[in-house]
Amino acid sequence: MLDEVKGFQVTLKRLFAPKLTQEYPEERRAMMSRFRGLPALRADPETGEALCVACGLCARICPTSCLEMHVVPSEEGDRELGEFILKSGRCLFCGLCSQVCPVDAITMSQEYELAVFDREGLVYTKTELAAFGAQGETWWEAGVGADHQQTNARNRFDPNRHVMENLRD
Amino acid sequence: MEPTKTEFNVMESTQTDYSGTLMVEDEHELASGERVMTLNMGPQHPSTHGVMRVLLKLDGETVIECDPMIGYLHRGTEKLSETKRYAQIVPWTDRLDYTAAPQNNLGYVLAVEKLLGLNVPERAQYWRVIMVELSRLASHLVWLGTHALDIGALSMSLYTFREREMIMDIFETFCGARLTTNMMEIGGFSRPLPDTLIEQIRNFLRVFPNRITEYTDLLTANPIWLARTKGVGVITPEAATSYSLTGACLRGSGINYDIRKADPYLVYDQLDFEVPLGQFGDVFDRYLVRVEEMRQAHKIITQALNYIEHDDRPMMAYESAYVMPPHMGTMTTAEDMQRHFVWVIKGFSAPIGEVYHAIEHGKGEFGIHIVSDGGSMPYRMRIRTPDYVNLGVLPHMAQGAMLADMVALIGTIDIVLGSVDR
Repeated sequence: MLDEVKGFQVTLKRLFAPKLTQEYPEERRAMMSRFRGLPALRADPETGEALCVACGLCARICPTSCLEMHVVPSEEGDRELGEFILKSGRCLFCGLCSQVCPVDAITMSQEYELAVFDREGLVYTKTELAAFGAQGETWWEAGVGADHQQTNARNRFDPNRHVMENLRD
Repeated sequence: MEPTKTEFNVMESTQTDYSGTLMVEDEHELASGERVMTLNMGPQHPSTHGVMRVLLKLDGETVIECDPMIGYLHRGTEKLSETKRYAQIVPWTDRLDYTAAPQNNLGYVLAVEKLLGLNVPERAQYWRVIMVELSRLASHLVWLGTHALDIGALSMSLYTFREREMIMDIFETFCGARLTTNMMEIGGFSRPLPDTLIEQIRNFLRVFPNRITEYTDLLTANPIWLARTKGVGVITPEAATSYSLTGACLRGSGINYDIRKADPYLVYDQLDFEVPLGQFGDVFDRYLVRVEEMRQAHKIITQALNYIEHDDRPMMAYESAYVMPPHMGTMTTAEDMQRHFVWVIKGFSAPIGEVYHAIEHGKGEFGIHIVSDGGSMPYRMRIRTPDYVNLGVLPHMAQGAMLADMVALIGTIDIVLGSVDR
């Protein structure tokens, strides 16, 4: 008999406990610093110049091919980013693009309210993505302190490491 | 000699038969003098946990025969994997069992590592255990909430989703996503741990035992819960093995088989935990087994975290062509940058061979079978999901059951249709 009343005790306790529900559109929770929202393009925090070097790795690793990169020759004889298109309707938000970027030019922003009225709204261009891109750190760097320092120290250049010979094929 | 001509048997085009594989004819005369009634349950029935259609033949309210019809959520993950490089497949595995994405990630990643012969650092292995056990808890909490919801205990899902929210927050801190985590990488973890992570997990571990007591207080002695679950959907040990069930469905029938014990992977052989077993193999026993599994998962996470908390060894097997070079190296040295570009653009060439690796998923045995022809993409990848195999026992359980118990029977197998249909 006592066991059967236990359930009511739980319910009663819950009645006086603080509310956990957040009423979403009015109250917004802060996303974690590592949250993976819409991919965005970063700029140099000091000069404001776009960081992208148009190597195309992000478009290459994307599992759904949702990134499209158009490269144009630059005035210095180098290559630079012409247009950059993200078809967000295909995006898996997996973060691989920002993980492989050698210059941290693409990051995952905190944007998550991405509903639009027509399909054309799902396609983002370079300027739109640059507007989303935070000036600060890349997504996985935010909120890491001690561990990051140690990992970095360990990964310093070591001339004795012959990693290339491991490459097969 | 002329090559022999192959004769093709041209199938006559017939109308698609939607009646499934049921044997009982509609015109069949029942002993009670009634006619057989055919009833469709689903595909949008809330208790089918996704989109599954169950075709039922009824005698009054008793189920004579049932046939689960699946495939509504088929995405072709296996075929898709043949066109993706190994590192690109991890995000797709999130979408199999979407209540336990880290476990799917782990199953895939371990299979690839077995194929490559890659050794993962101990620290990464412990963190994998922690994340996978958290995900097992998340999976069981979703199951408990929705299973009780189906049977009629509406408020259970509010309690379980409260704790699941804490786990989702931990995942979000760790990898940036809550549901489709893409958490595991081939070779370990390339990103450093966030500062708040350990505190968050400790916080969760502190409150969770009391919360499990709340669930059991609400359900275990509840007369309605007992009446709806005890003696319902009994699977005998013989039936459980002959239907090749795994996970709690098998252990609920009293058969002691847990891959973490039988064929230990990661560091499970160094952790102290028990495998709970059921006695009668009914819905109630499987509920008890899963609740006890949650307690054991809590125990595993505590041990692993105690061991690894102050460790600062590397998390990635760096010295290998199979893993991505460290980010700092890519940004500063030419060797690492070249290796990085090759890794991303071409991928790595896996050794030729075949490999199967199974893990103890929250729902049972989750296995990945990869056939490699030496290229950068799998030649064939087969995914053995636990839910798909476990679902096969539903017609066996449903025979002679009441129609109202069907929701309890579907819930007790713990299926997620994303995982069944793949």
